[in-house]
Amino acid sequence: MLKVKSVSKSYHRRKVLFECSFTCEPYQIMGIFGHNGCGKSTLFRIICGIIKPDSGAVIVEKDKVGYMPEQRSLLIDLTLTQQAKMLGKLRNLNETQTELSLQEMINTFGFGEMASKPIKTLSKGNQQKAQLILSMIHRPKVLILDEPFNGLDYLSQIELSRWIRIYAQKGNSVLISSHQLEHMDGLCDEILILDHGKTIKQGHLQSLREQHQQYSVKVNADSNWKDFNFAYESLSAVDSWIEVRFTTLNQAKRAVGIFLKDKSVQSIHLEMVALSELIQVCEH
Amino acid sequence: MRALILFSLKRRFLNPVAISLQVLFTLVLIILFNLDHISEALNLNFSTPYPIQVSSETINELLPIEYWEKQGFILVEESADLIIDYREGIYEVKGAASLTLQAKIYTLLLQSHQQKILNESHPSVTEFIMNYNSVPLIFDAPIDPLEAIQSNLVFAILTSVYFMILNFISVNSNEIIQEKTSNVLEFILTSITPFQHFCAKILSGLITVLVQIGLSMGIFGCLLIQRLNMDQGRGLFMLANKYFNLEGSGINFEMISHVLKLSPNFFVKMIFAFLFLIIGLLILQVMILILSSRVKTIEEAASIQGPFYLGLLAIYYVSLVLNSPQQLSSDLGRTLSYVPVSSMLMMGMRILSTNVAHDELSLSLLISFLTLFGIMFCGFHWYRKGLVNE
Repeated sequence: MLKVKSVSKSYHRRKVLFECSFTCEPYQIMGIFGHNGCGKSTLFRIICGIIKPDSGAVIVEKDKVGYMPEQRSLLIDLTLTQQAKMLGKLRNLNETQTELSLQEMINTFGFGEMASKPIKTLSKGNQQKAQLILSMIHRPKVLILDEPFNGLDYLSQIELSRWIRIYAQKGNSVLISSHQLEHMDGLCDEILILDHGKTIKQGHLQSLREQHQQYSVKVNADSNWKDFNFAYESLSAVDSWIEVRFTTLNQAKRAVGIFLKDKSVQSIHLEMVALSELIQVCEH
Repeated sequence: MRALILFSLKRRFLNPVAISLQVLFTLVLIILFNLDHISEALNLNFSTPYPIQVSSETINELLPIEYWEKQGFILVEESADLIIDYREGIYEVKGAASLTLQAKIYTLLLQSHQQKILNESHPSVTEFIMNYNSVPLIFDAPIDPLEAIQSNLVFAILTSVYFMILNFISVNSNEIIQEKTSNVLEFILTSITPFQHFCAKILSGLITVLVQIGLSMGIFGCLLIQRLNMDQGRGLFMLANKYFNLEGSGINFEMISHVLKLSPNFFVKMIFAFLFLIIGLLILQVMILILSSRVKTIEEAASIQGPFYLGLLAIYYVSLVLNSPQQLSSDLGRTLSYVPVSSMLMMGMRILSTNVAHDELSLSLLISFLTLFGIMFCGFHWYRKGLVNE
């Protein structure tokens, strides 16, 4: 488990984090969101112990934390295997443990022969995978991923999302920061939204959606939507669709039931409003 | 292409490190060029004049006293180790026990003699020229060539190790810069603390130097023994003699092999001299590690290392100038053997060429150790901040 208590940090008298507090439990995936420069990477570096906070505390076993930075952090002349051995020793793992862990990761990510090639010869996406493998060589209980989907092709992104979910289900905590919100949408259990270092929203994703009109039903614009009688929060035309917004899932489902009985409705979409919109709403 | 050149030059010269070092370099040069004024203003006097005993008759045959004082000598009437007498047209010098001292006195006596010749009349130009260029002079204390060779050999070994050390200092610095620019530090610092990283760099630098010295000396020693067993190096000596007149200078191979028979006392002195070299190395390592941690670009890195080398080269040249027992024991030599970093060479040379009192040795060691731990303790805070770009 990871507990962050009122952590603040300043750089050259400019405050970048204001009393940030949260808990990430085992089995949980927490998404950290915010615009560029809002303090996400600083928060991660404090959790990992790379920098010290000006105030507050982080409660976590430091040797149980794995961190994948946003920027490449690899020795490009070495192979994945060589770097894994070095990092394994830094993490006080014996050779067998490092080998086993490395082999498992290589099989999981289909790295194969690339593990014995210098990092500089690998593509950007494979370098990203190598970085992820190295951050997990010691099987951390708390895994921090800063922009893990960068550089990966679409299938790899899906594969990574699936793998992150499995990793959390094994009793580990995962913190992710990413701008690939379509993946994060189905992945995160909890979210934390930062704006200029301040926590503006935090909590269970489902609850937050319900707080912010997060359900919409779309019907074709040429349906008899004007005749329908139900409570809704807002209405908008989107391309050839009419989008009706509801506060709760139950309201949305009721609307769907009404639409289904009407022959003029040719297609219905029930959606949770995208995470990106939720974040925008929270930021404003 | 012009844009690329301008961009590159701008990054090399207009970074904070390069600008700061340029300012520092200018200040150092200003001080050096005005050292005499500063020395006068601060009433600094690092040199004690070397007394020469001359009789009242002899003093008339010499250059005025001011000339001697400018060369660091003072003419006294009695009780000096160095005595100059002028008898029957010949200068007799007693007690000048080093080549450098003899050379200085020879120059002054030659000038005195030439002054005298100019005031005399001569029957022919030839006789004038012959008399003008040769001063009748006898030194009664011939230099022991073995001592001179041993002293020079020791200096050569010390300075070779010194330059080897300089080379390895930059390796540590480049490592840190590479780790920072490749962002590998982020990974490493999740596994170890900045203090562990700091100590690891210092120790790996020290071990590298020791291993390299050991390897070099081991290989040199093995080849030397092999050559001595083969033909005592005569073939090599004959080859060298073709190009450098070694035999004409009185040096032969028996002499060199005699010099290499080192006494246990000499070994102990060598160990102490190396100890000073190693402590100096550690001080330099720590300094350059701390500076390198603050570097953000390759251009800044180059700006740091250059002046470091210049400073250490300056120490080397000062040690070249002071390379004699008398000068090493002078006030300047003694002062420099207490100053950390310069004591690397100066104290080492003093130990090997003169007898250094135990309290002086202990004091210099203490100062060096205190400097080392002081820089480590105070500088680690800057190192940590520099590593993580805080």
